[in-house]
Amino acid sequence: MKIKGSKSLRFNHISWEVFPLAEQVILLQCKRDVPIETIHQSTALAIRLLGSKISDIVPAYHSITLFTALPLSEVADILEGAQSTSATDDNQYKVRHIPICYEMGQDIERLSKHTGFPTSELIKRHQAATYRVVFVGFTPGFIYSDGLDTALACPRLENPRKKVAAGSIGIADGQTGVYSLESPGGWNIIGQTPLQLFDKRKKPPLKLTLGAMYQFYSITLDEFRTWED
Amino acid sequence: MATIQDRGRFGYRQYGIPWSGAMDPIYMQLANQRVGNTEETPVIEMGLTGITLEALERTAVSVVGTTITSHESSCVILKKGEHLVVSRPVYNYAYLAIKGKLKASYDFGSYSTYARAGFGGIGGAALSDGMELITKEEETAIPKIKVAIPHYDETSTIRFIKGPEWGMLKELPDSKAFTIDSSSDRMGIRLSGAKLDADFKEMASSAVIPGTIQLPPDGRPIILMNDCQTTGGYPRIGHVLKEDVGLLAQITPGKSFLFELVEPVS
Repeated sequence: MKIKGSKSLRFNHISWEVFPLAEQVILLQCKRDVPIETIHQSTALAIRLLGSKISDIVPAYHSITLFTALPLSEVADILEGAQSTSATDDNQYKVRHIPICYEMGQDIERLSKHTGFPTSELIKRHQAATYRVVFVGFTPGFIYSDGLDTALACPRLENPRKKVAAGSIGIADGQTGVYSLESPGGWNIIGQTPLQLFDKRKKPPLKLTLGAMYQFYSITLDEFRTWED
Repeated sequence: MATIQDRGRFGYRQYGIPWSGAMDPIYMQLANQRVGNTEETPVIEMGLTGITLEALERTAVSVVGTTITSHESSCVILKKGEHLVVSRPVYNYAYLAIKGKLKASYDFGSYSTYARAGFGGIGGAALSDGMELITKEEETAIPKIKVAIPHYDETSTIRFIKGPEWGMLKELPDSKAFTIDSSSDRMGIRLSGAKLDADFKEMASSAVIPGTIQLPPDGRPIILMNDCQTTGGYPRIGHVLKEDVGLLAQITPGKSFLFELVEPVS
């Protein structure tokens, strides 16, 4: 069903359906087969083209949401036909190394039981993968990432915790993410990083930005406790 | 729960940071006007609760959406040591403004409390017994301002536009009356009573904002409110008009209303 006021748009080589999500909020939605890098690249391009005309932008798996006082038709005119000229993005080449303490992983036994791997194998597989920030959302600073070894998939906890510590690394089904701030949550916690990934005094407040690649390396409980950023 | 709120923090949903801000911006502004503050001055929002304060200095306060039981006016000057007793809100949210600017944490452009991440408010938390509220200057005069306070008893329709997943609905939301559930809070308003039939399809998380009407698989709509998350995985069947989000916030649990579909203005 077509929504009144919606438009189709060709932007950064792909087709988008454009809807008014609310007053001054515009949703650009693409097909599910569009890779996440293209979403990230299109987000960067939209920021470049719209600049101060947008007050906020929320990319997700197959969509980009723009917060703007411009009418939808004007936004469509600006974006129509535009395309990224180069795919150079610092995030694409640099892999950050994030310390993780698996002893802080409250659900490591549950994960081990569910996946059938002994803890050592679980940790080995978790460290072998390279992760990438897909988008930030749900709660402040929650970093959705891809790259999880599919064999480590595990369903969410039946009863979400009231408090998950900042720096906790979670697994929910085949997804993985980092709680950069303390929050309630129901993901299986495999470990915790001592890094302060979210700092409200910094701009941007998050250390890991859209598209950033990262890997984990193991640290001991002692190192975790005495860690200095 | 009583929290410090202003208009809210905008521009940080890209980091997962909610807007927060007063659930009823009109009442918040009126409370500020009444005491002679600018509209955006942070105020105390009382959600389903009253409050008792003791003046540590001479100070002027006003309330909107409730009454001061210790005094006869809704705008009073308190002497040092005097107690102020404020009743529960008439609806869900009432506001107390203190003359001068309340001192609170300023995070991402706002003083609004978002306790889950420790933003705004007094040290990032909701108000609790014994906390001291400090204003930047001592103020004693009350301006002679008459404000017209709107009443919400007659709110019976809430206007909305179609959402991106509107097409999955098998029946129209404006065909049934919905009741506000008592589990509603600053994150979202849950509706009980009627259910909506729909073709549920799995969807990937995408942006949501205050006013978004989500339809979880149980068929009972949830309207996201000021402290809501920035992305969600439930279908977005519609979006409540900005003006009506504040009206909705004040409909008391157990009361019913109708949705009215309107066209978006572009």
